Amino acid sequence: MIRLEKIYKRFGKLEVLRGIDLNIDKGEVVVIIGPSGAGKSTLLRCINLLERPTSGRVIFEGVDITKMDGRDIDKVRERIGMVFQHINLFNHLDVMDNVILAPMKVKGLSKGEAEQIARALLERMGLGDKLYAYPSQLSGGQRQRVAIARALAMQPDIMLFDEPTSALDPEMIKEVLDVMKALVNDGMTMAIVTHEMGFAKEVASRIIFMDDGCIVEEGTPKEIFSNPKEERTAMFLSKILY
Amino acid sequence: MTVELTIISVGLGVIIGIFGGIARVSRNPLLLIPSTIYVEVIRGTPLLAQLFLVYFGLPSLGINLPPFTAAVIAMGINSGAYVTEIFRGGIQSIEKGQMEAARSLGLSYLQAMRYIILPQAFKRILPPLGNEFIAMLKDSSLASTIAIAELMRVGREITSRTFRSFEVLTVVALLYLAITLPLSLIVRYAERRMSVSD
Ligand SMILES: Nc1ncnc2c1ncn2[C@@H]1O[C@H](COP(=O)(O)OP(=O)(O)O)[C@@H](O)[C@H]1O
Ligand SMILES: [Mg+2]
Repeated sequence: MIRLEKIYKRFGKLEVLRGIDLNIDKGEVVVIIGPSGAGKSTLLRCINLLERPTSGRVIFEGVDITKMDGRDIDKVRERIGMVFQHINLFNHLDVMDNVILAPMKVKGLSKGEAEQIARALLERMGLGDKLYAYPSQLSGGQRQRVAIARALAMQPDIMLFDEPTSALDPEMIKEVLDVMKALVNDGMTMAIVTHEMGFAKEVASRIIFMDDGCIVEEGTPKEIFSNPKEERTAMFLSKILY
Repeated sequence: MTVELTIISVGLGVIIGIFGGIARVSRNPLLLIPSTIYVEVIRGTPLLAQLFLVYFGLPSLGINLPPFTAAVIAMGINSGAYVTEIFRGGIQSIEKGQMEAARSLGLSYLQAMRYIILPQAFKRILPPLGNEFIAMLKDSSLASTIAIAELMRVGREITSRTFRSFEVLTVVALLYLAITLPLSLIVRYAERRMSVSD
């Protein structure tokens, strides 16, 4: 579904991604781990071109999207959902309007159609009683679940998660991970950056370990966690798993 | 007269300011450069000079406007520059994540501006917009008492003495601009250098 070929990304003199090759097939759940500053967020943001790679190609459903511009990229982004560490709900809109905005303005759905989709999604996320609350009235966990619903309302082909629980209080992490697990069970294609190793072990079809702008090692959860081949992977895991 | 003039001028200023503010945060030089020049020139020159230009410059080009209309145009364009900067500040005060979330859903840049950024920016800039309105209220009394009456009287006097009044006054206004513009640009540059360092 998505193939990254020799992705390089520089910010000025700083080389953040250094030749990333990565393939994500339909139905796969790819979990990306690695130390802070490794380039994990930048990699995810290159997939939907929030960040333009300095060189290399991003191929989505067989089409090189790095060559596209304007409207065509917007079209591709409709099909790639993204959930952010800082959640980024639209603060001036209530929960319902957060979710129905893009289906209406981008896909041209009627308000009724969009609300029907939104209501079903929000109820599934356990937010049926919060449809008309504003983001400021919600807890972090609730906000992140709304953000997931907002992305899903576009009925994307793949979902990108950038540390979706890192900004949450510990007692709210589980409710967000549970929603993500339900998505995995639905067969959603996902790329997830996270530090939740238990969750990664449970849902990942493949784990990617990144450091210093490169993919150091990849494999099944079992291979990575029980039997890392690379020194750096083992070092990282020993630090993060205490 | 003054209140009416203020309301219409600031209204015009807000319309200019929305588009000006969007242009000022644009990465497209075709929008960024003209909008920056507009803001710098208007804020760097006295309102009186601008009123002069519109009152006497336009007629010299064969465009004759009633004094009230001329005042609205001059003050609207003047106010537009200040409101542009207010909008620029408002837009830039919205967290980057809002634009990114909107774009990640497939909204175009302009849709994201319209539905996500501007509504939030507008709420934040209401206080400075209020200040701009009050400032304009003061300025428009300048326009309506001194400028319209006085300048028209002076204009008429000169007209009665010479046949080339508008040309003369336009030259005077342009000379005035030529002196004040570089000066005020230097002052503003110095101000900015100082505000960077503190
Ligand atoms: N927009 C940017 N401008 C400059 N440097 C950036 C930008 N975004 C990220 N970086 C830098 O790139 C490096 C990798 O960042 P990031 O992809 O966020 O890493 P991670 O998500 O793995 O912590 C960091 O050193 C960060 O400071
Ligand atoms: Mg990150």
